[in-house]
Amino acid sequence: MIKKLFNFLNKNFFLYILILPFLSVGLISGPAILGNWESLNYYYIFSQFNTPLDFRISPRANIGVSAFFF
Amino acid sequence: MSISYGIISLFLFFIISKRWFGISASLISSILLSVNPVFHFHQHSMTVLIVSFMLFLFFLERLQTLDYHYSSNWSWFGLSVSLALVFIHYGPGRIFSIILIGLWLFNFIYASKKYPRSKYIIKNIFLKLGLTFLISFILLVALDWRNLFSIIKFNEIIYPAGAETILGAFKSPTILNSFLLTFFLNGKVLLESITGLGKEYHSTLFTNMTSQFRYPLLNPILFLLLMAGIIISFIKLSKKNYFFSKPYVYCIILFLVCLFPLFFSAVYIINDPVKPDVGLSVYRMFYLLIPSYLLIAAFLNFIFAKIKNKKIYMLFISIVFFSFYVVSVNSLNKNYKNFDIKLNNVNYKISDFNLYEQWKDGTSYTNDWVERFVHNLRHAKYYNTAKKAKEKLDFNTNNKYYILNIDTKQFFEDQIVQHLRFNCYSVFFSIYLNSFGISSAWIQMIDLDKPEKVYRKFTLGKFSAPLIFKNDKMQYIKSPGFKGYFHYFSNNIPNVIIVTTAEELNFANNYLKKNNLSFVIIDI
Repeated sequence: MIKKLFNFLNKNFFLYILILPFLSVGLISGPAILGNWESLNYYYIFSQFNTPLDFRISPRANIGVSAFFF
Repeated sequence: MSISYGIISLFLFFIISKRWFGISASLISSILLSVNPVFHFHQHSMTVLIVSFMLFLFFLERLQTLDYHYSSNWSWFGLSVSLALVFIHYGPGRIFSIILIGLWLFNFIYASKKYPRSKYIIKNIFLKLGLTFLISFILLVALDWRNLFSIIKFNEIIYPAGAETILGAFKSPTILNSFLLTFFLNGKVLLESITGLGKEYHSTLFTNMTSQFRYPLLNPILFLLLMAGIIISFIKLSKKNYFFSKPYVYCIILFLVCLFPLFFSAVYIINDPVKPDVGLSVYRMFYLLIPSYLLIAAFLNFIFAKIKNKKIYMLFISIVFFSFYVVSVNSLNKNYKNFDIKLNNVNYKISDFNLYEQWKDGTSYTNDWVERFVHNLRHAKYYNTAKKAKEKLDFNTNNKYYILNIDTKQFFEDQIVQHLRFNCYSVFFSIYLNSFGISSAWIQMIDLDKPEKVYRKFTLGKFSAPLIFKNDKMQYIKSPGFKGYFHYFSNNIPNVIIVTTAEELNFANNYLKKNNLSFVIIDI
């Protein structure tokens, strides 16, 4: 397993290093305010008495799935 | 965290694409995906979407691995883990993954039938697939025992409550019950979103997605590349990569699997039956980015194969894509900057209707749903008030605490206060103050005796004590279990404490006096 990992790194290491600066475009900061669903999620997670740790298959179809992901 | 989920998604996309279409094509398509405004926006959004997207890519990567290592137990175990993780996140990923496993199995059976001992191989695969589902279900139950009931009632997983589809028309009169019209209207939205042409259902500013407006998934240039990718894929449909792996068929199928269910999204006829509200959101369409960019990679791979030994063409293509990348990054920056300028310059002195006007982008779409901008206005107010508060604070005095007594009347009534009667002003004000580099605490007044309350239909939690409004002032309903707690993200209580009601002010006051801490109260 470790040998495989080393082989993989040897083969692709420089390629991944090359990609990194291009993909770091994600570091450009997003909007300065919370989005609509984002604000509801933020409130749900950070305003509870105990921080929720919910790994339930969400019974709801919307984006407000409560799975802990931060 | 969401930024890192986005970066991992790009790496997973690159790995999937590289296996089928080589390094150069995959590298360019991954970079193109990274500058996609819809992707970039959601990479910076604290919703479950980007993590669901990443986990769906993880699932696809595991499924793709099975094409090469279908006898490896580790590959199947990886699929179990990815499946369990996909299941606890956003709904569409679950549906797509179940369909894709079914299609993979069908393809495997079809391909292996030609080989000797096929019966043995197929039997073995069925056993491994059964074990994969079993391990996924065990993992899900281990994560939360209530998942057992969801697994037993399997329809809850693939068709969760509140799913906005045409089937909802059987129960709700507000959902359009015409199959053809639903198909047609969703088709129009999808066409606009994929081509990037038209402004009837999409905003021209991707930052408007903060107020739940749609923004096109692709632009006309990417659409042309996508179409070329589809044509190439149809031409090379039967081309195999390894054993039974057919990348071009797989890309087309993935595109159809992510596209087809969207045609049956619910269309609402609540306000105006003549102009129905197409409920199809960017969230549901988001998964389409994966097959779209894979098809673009397919086309690029075809081009690179054609010009393999012609360095001048290679150089030309590299320059074209690099220019596209630079223009896209510049456009992202410009849009975010313009959004910040709008945020900083909201004129609250004008009438309510004109406040909305400031956010419009000139399309009939934002004009028709202009009231959705109330969200931007609410949060712009928190943002600007936090900015003003920062200027008021004097940080030269050491060991001093500041109680920021916020007058909530200056804010627009928040939907959480409006519908649920929970206090959310201090929570949001605190995050914006933190974003300006001021670490702050807010006070949660809670009723410990009362059971958990429902937040957003199904989710229970202990939020703030219920609010009432007396003489235009926000107050808590008190009972014997009524208590206050500090909420903060640092190790110690920060110097700045946010209060929004008399009860919170008393609590902060008493705490600081009791601990002999000097403080000043600043009214905001």
